[in-house]
Amino acid sequence: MSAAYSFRLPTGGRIMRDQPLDFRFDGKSYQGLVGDTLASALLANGVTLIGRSFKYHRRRGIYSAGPEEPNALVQLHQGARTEPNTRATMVELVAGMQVDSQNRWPTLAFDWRSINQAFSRMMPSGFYYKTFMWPPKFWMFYESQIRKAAGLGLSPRLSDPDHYAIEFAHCDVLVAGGGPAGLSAALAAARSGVRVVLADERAEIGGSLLWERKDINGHSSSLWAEQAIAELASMRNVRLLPRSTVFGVYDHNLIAIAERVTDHLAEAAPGIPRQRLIQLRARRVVVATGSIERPLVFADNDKPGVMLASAVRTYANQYAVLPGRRVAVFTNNDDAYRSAIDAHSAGALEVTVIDTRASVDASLIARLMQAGINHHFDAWIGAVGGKSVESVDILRRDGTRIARIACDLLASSGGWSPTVHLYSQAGGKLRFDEKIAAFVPNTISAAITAVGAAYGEFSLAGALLQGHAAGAEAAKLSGGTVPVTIGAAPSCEPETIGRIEPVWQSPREVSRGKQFVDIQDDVTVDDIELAYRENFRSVEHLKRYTTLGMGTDQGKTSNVNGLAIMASLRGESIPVVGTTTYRAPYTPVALGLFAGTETGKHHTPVRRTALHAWHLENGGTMTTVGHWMRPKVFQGKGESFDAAWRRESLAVRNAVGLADVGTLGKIDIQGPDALEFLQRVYCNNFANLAVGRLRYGLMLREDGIVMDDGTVARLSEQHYLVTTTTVSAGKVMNHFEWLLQTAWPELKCHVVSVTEQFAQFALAGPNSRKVLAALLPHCDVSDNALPHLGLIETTINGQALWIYRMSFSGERAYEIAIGAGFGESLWMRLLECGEPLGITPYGIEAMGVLRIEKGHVAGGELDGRTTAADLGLGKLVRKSGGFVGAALGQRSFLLDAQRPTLVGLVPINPNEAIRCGSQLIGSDVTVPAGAVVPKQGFVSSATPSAFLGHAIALAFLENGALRHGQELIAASPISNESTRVRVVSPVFLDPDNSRLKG
Amino acid sequence: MIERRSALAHHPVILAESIGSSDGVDPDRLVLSERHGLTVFQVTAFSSVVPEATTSLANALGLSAPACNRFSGSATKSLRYIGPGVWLLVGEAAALPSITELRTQLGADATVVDLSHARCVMQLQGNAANRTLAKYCGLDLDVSSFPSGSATNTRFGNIGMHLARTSDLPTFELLVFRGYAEFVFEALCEGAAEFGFRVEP
Repeated sequence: MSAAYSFRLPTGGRIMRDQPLDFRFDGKSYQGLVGDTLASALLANGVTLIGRSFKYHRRRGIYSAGPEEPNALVQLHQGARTEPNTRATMVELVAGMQVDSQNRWPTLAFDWRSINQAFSRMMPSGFYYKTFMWPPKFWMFYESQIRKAAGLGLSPRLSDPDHYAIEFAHCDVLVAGGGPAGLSAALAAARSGVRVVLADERAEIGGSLLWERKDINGHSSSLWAEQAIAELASMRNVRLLPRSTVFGVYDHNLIAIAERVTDHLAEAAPGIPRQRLIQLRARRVVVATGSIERPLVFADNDKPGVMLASAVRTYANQYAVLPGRRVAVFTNNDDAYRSAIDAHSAGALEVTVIDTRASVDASLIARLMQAGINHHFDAWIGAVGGKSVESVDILRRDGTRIARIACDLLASSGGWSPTVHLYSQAGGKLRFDEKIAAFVPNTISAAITAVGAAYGEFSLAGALLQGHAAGAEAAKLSGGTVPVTIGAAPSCEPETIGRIEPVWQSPREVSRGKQFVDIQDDVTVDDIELAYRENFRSVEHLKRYTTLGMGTDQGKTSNVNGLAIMASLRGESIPVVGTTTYRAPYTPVALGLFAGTETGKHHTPVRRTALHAWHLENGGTMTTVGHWMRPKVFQGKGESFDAAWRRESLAVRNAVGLADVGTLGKIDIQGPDALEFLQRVYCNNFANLAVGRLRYGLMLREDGIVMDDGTVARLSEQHYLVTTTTVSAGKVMNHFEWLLQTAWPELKCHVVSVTEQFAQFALAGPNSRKVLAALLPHCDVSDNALPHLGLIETTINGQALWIYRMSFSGERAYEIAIGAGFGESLWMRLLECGEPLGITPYGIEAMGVLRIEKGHVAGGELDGRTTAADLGLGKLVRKSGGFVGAALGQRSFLLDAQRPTLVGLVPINPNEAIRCGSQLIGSDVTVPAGAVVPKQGFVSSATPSAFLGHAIALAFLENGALRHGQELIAASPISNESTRVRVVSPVFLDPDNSRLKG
Repeated sequence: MIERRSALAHHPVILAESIGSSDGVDPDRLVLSERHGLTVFQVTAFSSVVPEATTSLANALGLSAPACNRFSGSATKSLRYIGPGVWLLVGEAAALPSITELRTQLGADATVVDLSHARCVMQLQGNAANRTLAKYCGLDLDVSSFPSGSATNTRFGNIGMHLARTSDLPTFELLVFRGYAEFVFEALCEGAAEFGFRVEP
């Protein structure tokens, strides 16, 4: 034999031999073909060492050909797109792919941590509960080392550059899985005209039809698959979703599907998402997810070169790869014989079947002999020689040696487990079928059924029939007409279901050494026995104590073996032990998929006022208030933030300013019971509010604490317009709706949000009336016609315009409202009219300074802990009650005279600042470090004041009203600041309101 | 002069699109546009007099009273029943009564609120409209469950939206809060990018 081995078979397979793809693994270049997975390409290149195991860092190779892969976890791509723990069996090979192995240092072939194997006796399951205890102060060191050792791949350090989409979808019948049962079901349902979605996790739909050598209607099963797919693709009522994993089933048939849209493309098309999360609502679900092979459990069953038997024939038949030339098949069932035969057909030099059973069907033996395949019955694997598989010892049950054979590929089969995950997530119950030694779906729910291998029906004929029947039934139940041309089920040769004699572990006499049950998490039979001895005997405790089934593969090849071993330890039957709970996702899902489009600037909706563009164009330094964008200041060229707000606040006090207050909540209230409603939701009196007037409104929560404040304007007899703060607009609207719908449905009163209907501006300052007069020469805006707290409805160029005289700043001020579409234009007009009068746009920073100067309470004071009396507004509260908050507001601790009440503070040294949030303590107190000092109050709002020339603050102070003139300290230990302050009235300027009314 | 501007007036896409003539309507072309300057009223009937209010309203508009989550009328004037005793009137100002006239016709049976400026009305037309909207709206928009003449309050992502299907083509009409209009418009552009689309001002 002079030619080098080629693991790629010369003929066959569904790969494109004329389309090679270059890729790199651990820095070395290789070539694969279009149609390869990363795993099949690596095997074709003779790469058998893929990774190092989790705990012991044992050498590991490719184990399977599907989603159940526990070993071949690689770091895919580099840089921002790097993805850890990616199963090589599920990656479509793409040109230029860069792949690295994981969990090894410095190299895969020579990994330092493989020294763990020498300490394996000290690292059984749960060892970390019993070690790293002493000395306690070393824990942080232990923890950092454990953290370094834990995990397999590396998290990306850069933001995910790809974009993901979500899509809501609806259909009548969802078929999960596109193998024989699934395609059959989809065809039957689709032909009846109902809306059908067929999802399959692979690039090519067809499942086992693509790798089992069976015939349908006289042709290869893969040809039938191609025809079925073509027919489905031509139907308008069908949506085919290849490369899509149905990963979760939620209430009322809400199905989560992860579609890999462009992962298989070398370059993504612009505007197309990398992956899509489809939230599908299906009337009926047909679960046709097939089954997953279990391995046999024997010593050193984890070495590179050991594979699931079905994987051997999948690689041979679908990918034209035979990863070994001397093949041994270790089995307890008939199905694995297919792998032996297919390996022989693929050109294996030698094939040996090792069967634990004493006797086997004569026809099987005949086929083996025909192919020249060796066989041993009543036989077990004793030892697996070599770092990767090189030889295998064959023994009798009592330990006597039969033979040692050279072997480079050891295919193991312990039977098949139906893939019941989706069915179980939907609440379906399982039963254990002794005949096939597997858990199968038991109850049939109206909304979801399982068919084919997922139901425990392992014959092809049975799968096709069941699929067809289920598809037709699902279509009928979802309202489709009973099919006219649905046709008959496809036919194929009947098969007898193969026999299985379950064995869950190898006897110690035969197989010494580590018998791995969960290969990914390095859980052995010894660990399960330890769990049993330590009394962690329920299947859920077994899982958590040993970590069996907790890896990225979620125990797909290990759960049943593990629980069966525990069952035998407990002396109970397998169904009594049962399975652990199945949870979504079925296989790993990229986190980006759940974020969808709600990242970056799309994380939160953006809400803009009518003046948004103008603000940006004119130096507006924007900030977010909830979803709204508001300008903090308008910075001129070269002007600092600080200079800007000072300039703006002085302009308002000395001339006139213009601010966009469109974000405040506005609620339209109409109806015969509108006044009654207002009286109930506000604690102050509106019964004497005349038409054409407005008034401050104070709203309490049910517990008597202040919720929000605003204004109430009476537009006509039964028509009011209420304003709220920006932040609480939604909350107040909800509050109103909830009260009207549930507490007072008898009130004839409607509330509608009109926040968005009006652009609204505050025009404030000594010159404000003059600006208004210039804007509206035809309208009487004198103090007679428009006194403080009055309102006028007028027009400008034929458009309705409202003027409300109210002030937040303490200056003469008006708020002007117009339909929002006219907002920008009106603003510009106001600036024109105000230019000779020194009009200055101002933002919320200046607005905040002005209101503190005037002593108006706002967010800092309405913090959810304060009552009306605390705020100095106790006189507004109606003694007669009858409003939300009246009853609980009478609780004694809310009426306590000692409660902190609103005061003003100024610094003793006029150059010092006062820190918001400072605690107020006595000025005579010396404060040793670490001492506890009685607190008398706290600072709720603070600011420097350009107009007053020093800092000012609003604060809450015990007995505040009686303590004006006293000195205190405002202490802020967090920022290491402390200021001597004097208690004063919270109204720092114009206490007789002459500026306001003047 | 005080001029009216659309909420989308400053969006770069709107500013950049050339004004093209739409030569006929083609279902394979996805078109996003705005319906400018419409009148939108919300009418709410008091719960004890819903039938009376329904009759008055239908008469005032010269339209039939629509069933739940349906609308009667056309693009120029439509009456949409969106909640128990709650309607939206959407149409061109010239085709609809003024708010004062409407209030007179409805008398004490219902209240009317003008939301004409509070909403931005967008239109999405073409075969790919379903899949574009499906990125933001969880309703089943297939013609079998949301045929022409359907109208309902629902969600666009995390934002409230009123959605109607105005033709089988399909043509969808979206009403969103004015303040969110640019955000929604951008989201629609991004969602439609996959299918290729055109903005018509």
